[in-house]
Amino acid sequence: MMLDRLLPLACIGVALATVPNVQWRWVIPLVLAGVALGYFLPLDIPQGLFLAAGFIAMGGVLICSNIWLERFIAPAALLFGVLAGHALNSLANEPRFSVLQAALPALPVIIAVLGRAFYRGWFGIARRIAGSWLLAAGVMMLALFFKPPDAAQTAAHDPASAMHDSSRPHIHEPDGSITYLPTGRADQPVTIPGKPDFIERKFGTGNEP
Amino acid sequence: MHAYRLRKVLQFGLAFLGAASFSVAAAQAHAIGANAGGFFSGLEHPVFGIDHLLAMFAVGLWGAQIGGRSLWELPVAFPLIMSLGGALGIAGVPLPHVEILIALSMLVLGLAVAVAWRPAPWLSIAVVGAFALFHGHAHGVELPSSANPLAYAAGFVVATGLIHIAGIGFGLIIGKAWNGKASRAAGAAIGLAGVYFLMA
Repeated sequence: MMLDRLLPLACIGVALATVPNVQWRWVIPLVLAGVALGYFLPLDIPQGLFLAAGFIAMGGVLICSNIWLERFIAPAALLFGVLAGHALNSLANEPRFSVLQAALPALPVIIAVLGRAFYRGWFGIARRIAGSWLLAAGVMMLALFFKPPDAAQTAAHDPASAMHDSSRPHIHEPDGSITYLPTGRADQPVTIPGKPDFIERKFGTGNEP
Repeated sequence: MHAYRLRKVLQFGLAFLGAASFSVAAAQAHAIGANAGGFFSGLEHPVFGIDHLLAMFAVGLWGAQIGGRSLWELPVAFPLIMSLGGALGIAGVPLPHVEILIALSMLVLGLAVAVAWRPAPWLSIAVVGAFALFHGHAHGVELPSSANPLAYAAGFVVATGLIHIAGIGFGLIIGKAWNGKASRAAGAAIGLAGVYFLMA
């Protein structure tokens, strides 16, 4: 369930609930146009970058003042629409689609509407604090996305290395590959591919006493 | 008087709920899972790290004590600058004496609350931001080794914000008692804890 991709919808809902003079006639069509664009355009965005960009955009919108929010609400609406459309496209192919989980992003929107209706001044504080969290998490995610993968972690997640059976006698080749030594009966010839005289050099050719 | 205080609590509760609901959505968004190094690991890291916990609590408490725009400016500035420090930690950029400066942050912020220091807004943000950089760096260095770094990052940022909100709540609801002496006493206790961490 890629619920994270529906978070932009929650954010645009909160932003819309917060802007004092929302230009509904402009914003709603822009959101819908963005959803259509995001749904039908073949966007190939890596998950990490999608999350980071979404969190930074959401945090940015929530943290800015009402004056700036009124200016940015139109392009933000289009951007969030695209993100939400992309999310809906992904969800359409999701085998286990849960309506309950998909409805969860509506929770912040409902609270935003209630907060604005009853405690407008205080809601502005909560909005900015939540925005700073999202922005900070987005910056960290962006840093993680651009960090080169750790060599040790890459090796640990490598399927080839996961299949390595260390209980069997083996040698590590200089190129990183692993060669397993034969473990058959004693009368079988013990040779290592590419190193036919390895055992002889190691243990000599003499028989046991 | 009781009705006024009840109204304050209700207002704060709703503001808290608004912010916390985002954390719930974000938590669900990250396929929380019970894996170590996931969202909940990030969430509990600042809570169980007493040095982080007290410093962040002091930020919220100080914001509530100064009042006005500082009430939200300090808790907003802290995670933002903390994330920059975290990015430095993730990128492997070293910062000097991180642990000492984290302990020093408890001492300085605790003392600021204890003496009820009310500096210019830019100065309070600068003080909080300078320490936030080191708190973030400490988190960032630990991030890449966690099982799910994205969820971990979201978790500890949310925890940081919740601790700030707890500090603000304490400052507004309880801290005003006895002419603000409750806040100042809490600040002095945090400062003493900072001294302990510096000497440890």
